[in-house]
Amino acid sequence: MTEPAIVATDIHVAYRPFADRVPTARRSIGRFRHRETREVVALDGASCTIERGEAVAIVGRNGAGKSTLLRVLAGTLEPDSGTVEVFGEPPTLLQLGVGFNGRLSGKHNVYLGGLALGHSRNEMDEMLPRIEEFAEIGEAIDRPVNTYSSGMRSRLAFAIAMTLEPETLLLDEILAVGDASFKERSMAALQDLVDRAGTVVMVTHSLSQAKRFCDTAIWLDAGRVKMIGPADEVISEYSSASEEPIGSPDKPPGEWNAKERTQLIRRLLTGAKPADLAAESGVDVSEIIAWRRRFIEGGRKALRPRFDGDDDDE
Amino acid sequence: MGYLRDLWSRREFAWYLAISNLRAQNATTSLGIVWWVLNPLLLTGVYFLVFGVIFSQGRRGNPEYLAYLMSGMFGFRFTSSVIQKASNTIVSNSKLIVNMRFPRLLLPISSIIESAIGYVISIMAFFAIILPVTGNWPGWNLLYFIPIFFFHIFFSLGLGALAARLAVPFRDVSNLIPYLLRIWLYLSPIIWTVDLLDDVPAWVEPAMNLNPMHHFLLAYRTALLGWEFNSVHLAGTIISAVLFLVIGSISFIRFEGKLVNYL
Repeated sequence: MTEPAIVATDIHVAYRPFADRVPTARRSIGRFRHRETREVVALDGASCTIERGEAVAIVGRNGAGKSTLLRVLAGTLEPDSGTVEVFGEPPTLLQLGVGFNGRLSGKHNVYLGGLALGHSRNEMDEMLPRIEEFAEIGEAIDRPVNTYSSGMRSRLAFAIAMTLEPETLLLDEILAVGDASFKERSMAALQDLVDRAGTVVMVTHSLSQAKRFCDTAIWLDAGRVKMIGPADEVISEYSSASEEPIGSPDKPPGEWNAKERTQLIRRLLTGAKPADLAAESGVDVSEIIAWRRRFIEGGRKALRPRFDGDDDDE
Repeated sequence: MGYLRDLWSRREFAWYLAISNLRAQNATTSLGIVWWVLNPLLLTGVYFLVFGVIFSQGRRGNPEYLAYLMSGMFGFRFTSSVIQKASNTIVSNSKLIVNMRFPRLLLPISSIIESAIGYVISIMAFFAIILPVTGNWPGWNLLYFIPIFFFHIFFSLGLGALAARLAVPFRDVSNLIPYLLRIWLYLSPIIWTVDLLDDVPAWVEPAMNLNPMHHFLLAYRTALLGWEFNSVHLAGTIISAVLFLVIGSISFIRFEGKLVNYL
């Protein structure tokens, strides 16, 4: 499929944050004269095309501009320069600690979110039961959102978004805080969306999830697109460049005997290249990098077999 | 035009946000919605004590003065509450703005709805107090309230949008607003009466016509206290409404795409 959903061209965005310095009268007056010249560049000429019916992962280090790119694609942030063309319905964006007014109850927020997106009161009346069912937060729906845990918030936000059936869904780390069963249901719902020719763009640090679920990946580095292409390639490239583990190895550590492992680690720590060792042993290079990191961080104990698969980069 | 259509199609959102805010505000107090009536009454109670009893200049405890004070105070309070709510609404709904795409002018509009509900309630409280005391029912004049209120809404929306647009990039504005509102309160015919103006310089009286609130409050007094109709004040309210609505909403809409950069 080559029909584009969103085309972003040469996007530049700079934030003008309020500097956290000790305020003095002199500085404050100076600020009045030449107002806040210090900017933080978030996106520095990023371009990308999101195809319809695709699942796209955006990877990159903290501060690379991932969330900003998502906001620009969603149209909630107008870039300083560059263009964003959206074909079809405006996308729905979900971020951590999302669209909520904390003083209001979960139910009020459901209506507020739906009405802001242009749904009618009656439509929301119909959707409310389905949202409650998907979110599985029980009677907490009537409590102020301030009392929710971060997991409950993202459950509710995700349930709202999925029930509203967007054409394009932009997710910013929203699945990182849910528990295992919710994560499973969410991924199934996302797969369903993609199968119906919907488009999903997700910012994630869970490289295994990205690799498993996404067709395409965008690697952002310092506000620019460093690489864009098939998810497998981009993510392997990214994980070896940044030494971030993919996490879910092709060959689980349990299948290795202790001697092999110790030997491998010793060679790693004495300077052997992960890529060479990978070629030699047939183990995924990312896994070897993950091992080295775990060893450095947690010592020998950390090398006990782990099967949690997802999110062991956290 | 597309913007207006978007606004109209999401009118339920503005209404819902206003109602939810009103509900949340009073959910934690034990008197709850009674405060809607109590707040404006306590406010005028304080001013009446100070200017109608203590510094009374011969009008001690005069019920006519109480009616004068309340009619002015409530009208002014509508605009000042819109300005205060609107200047906070962007920051307090920042999460909604970051995540959802909708015409941002809906937020100041919901501040208008919130304040307008409070204003209408305070007008009812006004009659509940004034009628037994003075017995002056304005009669058909009361119909005049409707167009003036209508212009007053658009005037306040323009000011509120302007305040919201300025308060986000320059947070200093939020600190300044209460003082500006206080000065405006004293410059408007709320506490003082026109007979006080005998020994002021000649230029003051024409200069008062430059204060939009002057026209709104005197027009309201035609409606609420049965004062004589004055076409100058009607014209003043219309001109202020159009002028501020255009300036406020255009400057707000032109800025709204940049809002997220400052949140």
